[in-house]
Amino acid sequence: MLKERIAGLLDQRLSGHSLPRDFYVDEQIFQADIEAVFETDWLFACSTVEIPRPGDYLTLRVGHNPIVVLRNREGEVVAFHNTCRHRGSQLCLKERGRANRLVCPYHQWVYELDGSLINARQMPDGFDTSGYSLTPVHVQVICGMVYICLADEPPSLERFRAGVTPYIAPHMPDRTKVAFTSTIVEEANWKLVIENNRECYHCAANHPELLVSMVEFALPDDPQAKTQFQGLMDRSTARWDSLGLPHKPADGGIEFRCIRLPFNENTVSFTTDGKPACNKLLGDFTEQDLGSVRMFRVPHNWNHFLSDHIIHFRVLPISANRTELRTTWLVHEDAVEGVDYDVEHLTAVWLATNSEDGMLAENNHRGILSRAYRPGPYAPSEFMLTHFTDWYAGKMGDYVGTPRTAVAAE
Amino acid sequence: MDTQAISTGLMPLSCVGIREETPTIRTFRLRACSGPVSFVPGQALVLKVPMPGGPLWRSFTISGGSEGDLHLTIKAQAAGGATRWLHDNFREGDVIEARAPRGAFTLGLRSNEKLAFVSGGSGATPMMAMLRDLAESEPDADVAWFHAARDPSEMLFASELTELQRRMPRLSVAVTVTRPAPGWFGYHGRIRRGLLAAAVPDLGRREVFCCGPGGFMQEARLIHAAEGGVKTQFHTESFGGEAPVIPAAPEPVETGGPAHLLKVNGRDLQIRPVETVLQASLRQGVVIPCGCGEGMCGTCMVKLVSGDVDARPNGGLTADEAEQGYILACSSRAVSDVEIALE
Repeated sequence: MLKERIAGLLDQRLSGHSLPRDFYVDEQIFQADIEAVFETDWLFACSTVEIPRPGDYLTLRVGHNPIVVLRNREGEVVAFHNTCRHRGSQLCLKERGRANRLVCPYHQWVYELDGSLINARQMPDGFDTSGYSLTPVHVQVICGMVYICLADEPPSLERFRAGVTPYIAPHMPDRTKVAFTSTIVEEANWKLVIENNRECYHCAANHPELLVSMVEFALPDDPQAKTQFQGLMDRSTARWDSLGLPHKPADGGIEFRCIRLPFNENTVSFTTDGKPACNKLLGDFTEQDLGSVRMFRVPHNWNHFLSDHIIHFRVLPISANRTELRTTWLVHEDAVEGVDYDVEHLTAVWLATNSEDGMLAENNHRGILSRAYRPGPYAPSEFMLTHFTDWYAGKMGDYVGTPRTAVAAE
Repeated sequence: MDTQAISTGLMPLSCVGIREETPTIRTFRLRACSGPVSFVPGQALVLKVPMPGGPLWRSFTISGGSEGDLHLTIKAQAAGGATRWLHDNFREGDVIEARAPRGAFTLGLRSNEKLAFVSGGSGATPMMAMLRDLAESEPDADVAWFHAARDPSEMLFASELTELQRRMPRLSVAVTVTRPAPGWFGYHGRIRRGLLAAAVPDLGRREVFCCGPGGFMQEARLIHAAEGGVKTQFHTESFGGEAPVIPAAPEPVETGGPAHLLKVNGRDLQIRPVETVLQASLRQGVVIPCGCGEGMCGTCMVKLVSGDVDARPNGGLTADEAEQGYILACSSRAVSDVEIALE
């Protein structure tokens, strides 16, 4: 029944327009989103530097699935379903923590960091613990970013890895540390949170802090860029070329986007005054201004890589009308707070921008609840929303078993 | 400071000893005929090298001193140049003329307890002078020295450094060479952030004294800033060895306002507001001996007889000289009609 309904909505859908109403507000379709998207695709979980040592873990919830990502004794990042093999209790309860072994707080079954059950007290002699290891989740690490996949057979991530690594690796994410994290909940569907992030049509009226440093165009050949930013773009690309830093849009199709774009004249970082956010630069950089590598991957993760810091954004759906946004700021591993950087100065722009975006998405969601809502057309500068909704429609088409819509690549 | 030697004009120095540092580097020990000469570690001496084709003025950082003698550690560069001439011809007992020690690249600039010396090639000499001074005055000084040399055989002052390490418990020394050979256990490769950060992990917290080729110092400056260093705690000295020194190119002739009269030893010349006294003179065929072209070596010192100049000496004049009316032609611009005298 539900699948037929979704198929019907997909038939109604026009590419280049916002989605039919129920995709944004319906709880049943939300559940389908989880199964069709979040339980099949690779998801950004965290940065490796959030769990630097063996036993460090981080938890997240993918739909109804509690997941724990941890560093094992060999130093590798692994992930498990965060549910005890005894009677299903959650094992790790904190958002982040450190454990020598994973011990269920209910009846104290003890798991090694590789997921194997090593002690189950009061179970009868001869109880075979080998059949009760934690259920693993697929993990891939790309330039310090931990991606997890709940599917039995995960799709390939190799095109993404090859596409983004040349842009990100010079920023040396492995040699960073967490300076700050923020988690907010927006009363809006997760797709509205993503759509809002994928365009800067709304920036001029809503993001005074962000626009101190961020250029509004999204592509080097943006017509707007031609008139206003061509000189800045040309100077920037010449400098990046001389440093061997890639900047042209990566060939990510509708799966991912990666590009290096400059900051506004006389600004070098995402700060309210455009000045550096951290005096100690990342990696082996000696250039203060490298613009920012903007990287997005479906379904739910965008990032900025600057010369002086990195920001990861992770969106997780909670329900049809609730979405969690977690933001992580990373600086050089040896940078000292209060000396090399000030947390308020580092985070002010994106804390304000996230808050503004949260309100925009909530307004959007409330407006879509109106019986008068009809899908509306995207502007040319909203081309990434076309990519996103086409991609989403493809995933839902796969889920309901209709032939996948042919979609044009970027 | 006891400055009884002539502080202006030339002083004769006689060579009282020569030591081989490496196959291409020698330390010349010089004694002023007029008595002990004082200097601040880091300062330089301008020698009038009597080349067959006429004298060449060259600045050499004083690598050390003892009992009023001055030590110049000089690397022999290409044939035909002043350093090669000194290696080939300047012997114990010979006399050479020099200007009094000068330069602002000294520990007087220091504002931080923790120091980093970053040197390339013969840029090690001012570091050595400062280090010897610290070994006496502040043996507990926290100094990290990073030196870049071409190959291991050119490692300057190796045995003396060993001795200084004994006396200075917080002195660390790291050396990189661009041409490593078997038996070399230090770093190799050119200066770069990863290397410098590995050798001196807290570089960004230190005050840097840097001396070496121009590109080397520019890279060191960027690295210090990238490590979070304070810009005002990065000091450079730009001359070392015998890199050919070319005076700054004359500005385009169209720019600037009306010219002033420039009288040089009685000869009338024109000087434009945008050009230096040195540029104006050279343009009109009057040769003023010059060195660094950046106001640091003092070679182009001339006497201001009348008129006003915008003088920007960069440590190349002693206070005495400035008081007595000397200016540096390379870093002075006329703001009125001016008369100067070459002595």
